[in-house]
Amino acid sequence: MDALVEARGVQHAIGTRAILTGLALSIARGEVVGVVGPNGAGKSTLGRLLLGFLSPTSGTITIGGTDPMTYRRTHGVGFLHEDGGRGWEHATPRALLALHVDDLGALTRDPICRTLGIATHLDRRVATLSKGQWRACQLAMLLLPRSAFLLLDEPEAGLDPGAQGRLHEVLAMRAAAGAAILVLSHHLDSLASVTQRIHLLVRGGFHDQIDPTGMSLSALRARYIRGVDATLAHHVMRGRAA
Amino acid sequence: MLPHLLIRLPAAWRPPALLLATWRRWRTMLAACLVSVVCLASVDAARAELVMAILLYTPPILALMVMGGVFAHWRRASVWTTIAQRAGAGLADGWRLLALAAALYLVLLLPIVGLALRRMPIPSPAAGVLHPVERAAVFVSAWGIISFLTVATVAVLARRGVAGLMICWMAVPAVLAFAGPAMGLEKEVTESLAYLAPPFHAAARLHDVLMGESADLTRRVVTHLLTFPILCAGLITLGLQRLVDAPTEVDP
Repeated sequence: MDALVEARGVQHAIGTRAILTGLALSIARGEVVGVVGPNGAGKSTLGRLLLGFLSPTSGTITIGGTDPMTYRRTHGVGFLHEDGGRGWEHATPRALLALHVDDLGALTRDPICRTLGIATHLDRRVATLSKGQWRACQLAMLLLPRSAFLLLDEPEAGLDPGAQGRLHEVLAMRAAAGAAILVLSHHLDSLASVTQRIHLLVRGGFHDQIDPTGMSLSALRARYIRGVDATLAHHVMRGRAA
Repeated sequence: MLPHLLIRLPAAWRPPALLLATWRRWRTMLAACLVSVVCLASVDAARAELVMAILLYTPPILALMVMGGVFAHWRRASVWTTIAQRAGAGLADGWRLLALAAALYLVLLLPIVGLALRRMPIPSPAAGVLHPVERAAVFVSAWGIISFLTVATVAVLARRGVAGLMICWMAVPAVLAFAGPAMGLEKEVTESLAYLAPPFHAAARLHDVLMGESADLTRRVVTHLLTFPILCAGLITLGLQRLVDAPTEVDP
């Protein structure tokens, strides 16, 4: 398939502490890929590298054949991260959407907005929205510009089960339209229902690649725990040997 | 109402306009302006030194409120990441924000300065000397621009402690004047180092230079007043580039 995102041998370190150790990742257009891992595994750092907010210590990352920063500036990247709308409390979602779209009148007719159900709170101040309502508005900001690369960090945080289902629906819509989507999450069940493959990130490296198709959630969890335990045990043994 | 106003702006001007519109320190800033106006209105017209004190302190305080506040707002993770995902987001957004902040600063400063100049005592001007009100106007214009550039530079370079750093930077000429001889620095070295600091003394002597007085100072005053904006523009570009390339507070 035509890969939009390519990462090869990506290493990142802060001082002498290695955060990522030789990652390789490829995301094709129309593909939804998940990355799961325990806290501190390096998911957020991977996200920053793919957005061009950080540069890898070694290795290469290309998006659409160019470096992530150039790609973000020239094409735009849909990016969702966990925050409480801090800084935008006095804005309305409609004003924020004006940053990304030109026809505000057509918003309520847009299939993405209709699926996310944000029409009723477009003109409320962000400070008055619930966490789930704000998350739905963030998703609209991310999805409406129709960027070819989307990066979502914990997208289901704060969403009720119905909203999570709608989120999966809009992600499938964007993937069907040719977007390459990366989802960073702790939620295996959510990743299983929306991604085509899941990478297990532990201690800065990918240690397993799981195809969730046809796997039960319990089997998926067992594989995750096995993968994390084996990697951590390996690191403990190496530490003792050293 | 705001979204419908925003949508009428060219797409490139929407992020800085929205940043200013959603900035939360409007009330503090307007209160500071109101205090200045009330002080000026209540000061006895004969107390020229009080009017001058207000003219001296208002520009840096207003610049601190506008620039320090706006850039602190921009640095918030959720604010920058919302803007950064747009195609075309980058250094130009920072310069547009700076331009809008400069316009806001000017709009707030002008009525205060105008009122202050009207309250100035007007003695009969001596022949061949600039009128006192004109002298004050020249000084305040230069001082206002220097204050804005100083605060803008510190606000984009420093994440916190903007006021403290600004005061330290402004104090450099005084420090050099006292510490230079004590450290055994030659006069030329001290004068060269002074070009790295805000041209406070140059602004104070500008009216003399304009009147052709202090001919020996003319070259230094003009050079300092011209090189300082260039120094600030270079530092602001570096600060903005760092902010848009690797925003340290952004946490995906």
